[in-house]
Amino acid sequence: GDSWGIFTFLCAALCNLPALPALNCTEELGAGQSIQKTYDLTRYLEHQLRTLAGTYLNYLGPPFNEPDFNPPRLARAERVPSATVDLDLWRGLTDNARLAANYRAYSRLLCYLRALDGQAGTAELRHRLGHFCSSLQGLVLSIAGVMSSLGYPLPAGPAGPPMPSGTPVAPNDFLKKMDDFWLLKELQTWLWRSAKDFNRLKKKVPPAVVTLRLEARGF
Amino acid sequence: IIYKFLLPPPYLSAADPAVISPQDPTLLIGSSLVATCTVSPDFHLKAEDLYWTLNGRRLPAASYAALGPTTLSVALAHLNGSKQQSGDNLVCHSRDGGILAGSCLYVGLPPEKPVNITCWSKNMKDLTCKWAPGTEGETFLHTNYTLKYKLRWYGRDNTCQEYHTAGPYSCHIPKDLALFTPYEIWVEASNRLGVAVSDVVMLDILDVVTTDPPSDVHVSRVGDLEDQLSVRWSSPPALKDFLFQAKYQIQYRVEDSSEWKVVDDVGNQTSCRLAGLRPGTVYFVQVRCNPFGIYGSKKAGIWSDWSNPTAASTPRSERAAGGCDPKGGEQNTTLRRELKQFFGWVKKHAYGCSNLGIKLYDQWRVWLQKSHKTRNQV
Repeated sequence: GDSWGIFTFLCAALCNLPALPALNCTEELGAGQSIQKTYDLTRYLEHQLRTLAGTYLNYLGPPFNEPDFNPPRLARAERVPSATVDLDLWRGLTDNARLAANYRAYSRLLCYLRALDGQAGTAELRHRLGHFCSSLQGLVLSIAGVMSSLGYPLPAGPAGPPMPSGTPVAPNDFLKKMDDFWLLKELQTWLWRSAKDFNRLKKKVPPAVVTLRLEARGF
Repeated sequence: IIYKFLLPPPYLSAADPAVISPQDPTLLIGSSLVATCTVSPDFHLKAEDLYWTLNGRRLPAASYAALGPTTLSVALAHLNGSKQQSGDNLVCHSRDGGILAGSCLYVGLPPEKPVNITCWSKNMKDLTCKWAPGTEGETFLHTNYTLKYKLRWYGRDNTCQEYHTAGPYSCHIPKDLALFTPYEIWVEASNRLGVAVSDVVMLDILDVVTTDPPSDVHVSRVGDLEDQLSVRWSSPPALKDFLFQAKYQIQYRVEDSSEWKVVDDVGNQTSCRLAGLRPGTVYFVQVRCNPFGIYGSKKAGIWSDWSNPTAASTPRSERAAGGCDPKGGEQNTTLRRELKQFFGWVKKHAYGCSNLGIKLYDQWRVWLQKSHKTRNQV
């Protein structure tokens, strides 16, 4: 519409001023929308995870599906990136670091989720898992989109840092169930945290760019 | 020193706190088991500090026995089938509830022979088979099914790869199928307790051919005729490539009924007229096709799916109901309809008698009523 015309004019004018760094205005606006979209995705995934986790934990059987279940967390389980972080550290994260942490975490989580036993469980469970993985993949791509629209490089490799070669697959079925439990728990924690991460990012994108709304017509 | 699991730090040392034996065993329903939990010396726990749970429920201390200073056993008798296919969770705990180790028990039955293998080929291009698991009840264990096939008189076994295409017990073979030589097909079921192989089914692809439903199904009125609809369709395009004839079947129903009427003797045509229908009613019509006489054989193939339902309505009768008509009014309307059809047919097939028509019948009825009145008046 007309407001767009004025907006692009302003952008062009600003961009031509030699003193200012070149602004890619449409990209800035894109970033704002991408951040919102990513935020919405984390909320949606959080909702989806509740059903998926419920079904999967029932498949693992009691005590895994008991509400107060709190098993010890073995050191070997460190392969799953933890969302838990010191508050001041979290507050002090740069936008780049914040986004990169999210990107790396979900890339890894997606890998592990995909590796969940594809043969076992009911067809319904496998179907839910597949659907969730697709949505999670969407989240990873969305985060990548935000990073690139803000000019940040993506962390190296599609799955972030390579998995330490010493990480063993669970040596027995019970430990594997524990790994699965912690995977779902960590996924849940990350989704809670990401909502806050993206909320924070939303506020940091310059309001002048996002809320530009010019009523002047006939330009 | 008792290690407390309820407080952070969240990570334990790399060594496992305890070891359970047997680890993840597979057992037949009704069997008994003695399991042992041996605590690692680093954890300074004694056998009397331990207890067991199975699927979250504490096992009675009466079934425990200390086999050594750091080893506690539990005896389980007459095991029932596993509560979940991922295995029953047998867990060794320290006194404060912390988990030291666990073992998944797989208790069930070996699979039974899969049965009722049926297959069909779409346009001779592929083969889909489905079967039923042999066990009426459950095996309690995850059972894997593998469909295998080979050409009779040729050595190599092949394994079907695409499962669940037509329900949970089905598989699809998409290509490299040979004609004119029969196939031997069977299904192997396997779980942790054993394998069961179905009987071998022998079939020739040409005997189980089906095709797509007819396309372009159109249902339209036949002029003003209130009780007829004309159905037209095209033969499925795939048939053009092969020397098939086709037989068709039509089914139709009234909008608010679930009872389908089937027209069976449609033969090879691609059109048909439905008669004896209710006026002013919406009908749903479907057509399906059977590739018949493949390569000259007299055998029928397998009926295709029904085409998507097509709807059409018969014209509403113009005549107002009742009034002076005597009790048999309903019957007369049916009679009148049939006469109309008859006269229509006569016009087409009989030459002469051109004055015979439904109008003549109507005139006669009017005359009949008049004469009836006059007769009564007398």
